[in-house]
Amino acid sequence: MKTYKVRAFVSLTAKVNALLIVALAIGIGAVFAVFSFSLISTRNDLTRSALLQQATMLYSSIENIMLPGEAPIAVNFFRDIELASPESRVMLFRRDGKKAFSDNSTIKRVNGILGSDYFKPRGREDSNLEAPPPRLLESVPSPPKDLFFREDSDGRAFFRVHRPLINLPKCTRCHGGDHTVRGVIDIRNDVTSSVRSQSYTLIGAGGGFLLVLAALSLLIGTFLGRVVLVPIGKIGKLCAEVAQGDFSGRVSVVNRDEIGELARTVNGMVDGLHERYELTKYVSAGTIGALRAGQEPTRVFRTLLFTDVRGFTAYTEKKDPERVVEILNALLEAEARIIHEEGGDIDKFVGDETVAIFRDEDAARRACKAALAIARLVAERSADFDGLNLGSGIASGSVIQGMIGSNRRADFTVIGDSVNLASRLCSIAKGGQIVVSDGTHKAVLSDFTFGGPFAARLKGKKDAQKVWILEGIAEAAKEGEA
Amino acid sequence: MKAYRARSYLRYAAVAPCLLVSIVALAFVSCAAKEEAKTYLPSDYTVWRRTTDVVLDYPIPGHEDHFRVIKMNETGFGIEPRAEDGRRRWEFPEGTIIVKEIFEGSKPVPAESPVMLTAMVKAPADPRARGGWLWITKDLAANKESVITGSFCVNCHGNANEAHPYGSKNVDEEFSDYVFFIPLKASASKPAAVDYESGY
Repeated sequence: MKTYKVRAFVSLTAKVNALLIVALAIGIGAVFAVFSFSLISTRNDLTRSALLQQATMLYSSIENIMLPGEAPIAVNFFRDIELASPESRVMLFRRDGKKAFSDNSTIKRVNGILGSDYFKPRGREDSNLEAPPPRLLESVPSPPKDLFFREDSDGRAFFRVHRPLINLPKCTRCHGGDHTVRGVIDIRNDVTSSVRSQSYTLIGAGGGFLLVLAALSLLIGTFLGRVVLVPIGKIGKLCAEVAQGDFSGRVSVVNRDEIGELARTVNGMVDGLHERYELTKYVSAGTIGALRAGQEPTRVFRTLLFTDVRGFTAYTEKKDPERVVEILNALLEAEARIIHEEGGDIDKFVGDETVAIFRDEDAARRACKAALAIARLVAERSADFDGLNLGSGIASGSVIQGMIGSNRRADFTVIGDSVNLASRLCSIAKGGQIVVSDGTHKAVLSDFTFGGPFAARLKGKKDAQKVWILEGIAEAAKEGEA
Repeated sequence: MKAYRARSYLRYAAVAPCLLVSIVALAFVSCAAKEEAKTYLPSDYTVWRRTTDVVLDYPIPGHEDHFRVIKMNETGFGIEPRAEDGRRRWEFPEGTIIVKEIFEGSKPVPAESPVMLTAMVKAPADPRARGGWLWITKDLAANKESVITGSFCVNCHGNANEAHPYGSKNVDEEFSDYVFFIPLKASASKPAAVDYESGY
């Protein structure tokens, strides 16, 4: 057996809102993200560019200070920079990570290369040396490269540049030529306020985005809700009511757009459906079935139930027409309900007469049950029906079923001897009596109790007909039913 | 029963940009691949003439104590100095290629092959050129050339344009086009009143 996965119901409103939020989030979010990140990127690039430019100038300054052997001036130079701009710090490290000018090792090495005590050692060496920056040596490998990175420390943010101080050929006279990098210039800029400002920018942009998203979602959602979703919801509700058999509703049409056109079309469709539904009250189920299946005449086996109000003509003369119609309709309505419950089909109402057709194997049994139920109901609710009573006739047999009438007006009905017989039996039945043909009696003998047989002379029949009076349901059948 | 089918134009709307993006991406990829595939150092550089007879086994910054041999294509040997403000100025012709073979140690054994090449290619119009030269390294094991876009090479070789400790030492601080060892062509005419010291 095939199994079909049934998707959970998700309302159109939810889908549209989800679509809106996703579309807005992607669309506007992308713009906000690109804007914010390009802003930050630009600021970072500017900072980086400024820092590298600063490094280049410092490099040039240091190179020119060093050349004449005035290294101590560089120390004062770094100190002056820091004093002038507390957010910046410049330091020079030797290629082994040790702080430059902290001891006399470079002076001793240079004097060794020069072969004289050209440079005098410093009087005091720093003993309290801080650890080299952790990424310092990353800029040293060949070819040496600038290193630019962000560093967070003690709640503050720094941009940092490590620029290797190259041992140029002109420097080798003092420093020797066996190494490429003499040291690393470390420039550290405190960018905490800038980073904080970027964070505020991002938070502001994010908040603005969420606000815009919410506002647009609300705006577009409300608009779509009013213009599309609410009318579609109303149309859906109307369709559901129609499916339940309630044709009273209509969609109020205000919009002059596709939804409005749809509402107008649905209203028209409901009108048409209502008309057809009303028509089915006047057309038998057999007619409707024939219209669906085709209208070719066929010979079929059917059981016919005829009922007729006794003394109706006299009754109509005594009562108001409104009362007559009211009581007759109530009576026919009750009959129709019982006949339908037993699977019968109202072929037609002819004045106070009802013609019902039962088909299939136990048609005779259901026809008899319906006749008994009608008789019992009419007896029980005699006062409701102004004391009117019914006589019924039942006959079974072969009949011709087809569309009878003209092109303008026709009924899908049955004709034949059994039809005439049932009609005649009905006509001889007294109030409350159900007269059954011998053929029907044989078919339901075990299910019901009968009086008779009786010999009845019927119009159109030369010989007397054997008939039975249906009295009730047999005890065995009652137990079976129970 | 009639079945109504809405024709979707959305797929065309979706396919068109995808197609466009694909074409552009392919164009970029093909251009990038073409750029990547370009090499500058021919394999027959080994037969080129040396620019100096000086044994380059002494340590220098950048190459430290690796033994070096410098060779140049014939285009470079066509260099002629010109006088400018009474001083000589050397500018190598475009297309000059100077290759420096870098050996593993400072004393290579006979027939030992270099491990790396560094090269200068005169290409002033190339946007990656520094001082009119492309600065290139080639890893011989991986057979891969790389153009150095940083300023390390040009900064160091910039000293060739002023007094330096190698070869001629350039005591007159002539513009030497970033080359420490300028070969003197036998037929090169010397501007008057300027003596050239090769320093070889």
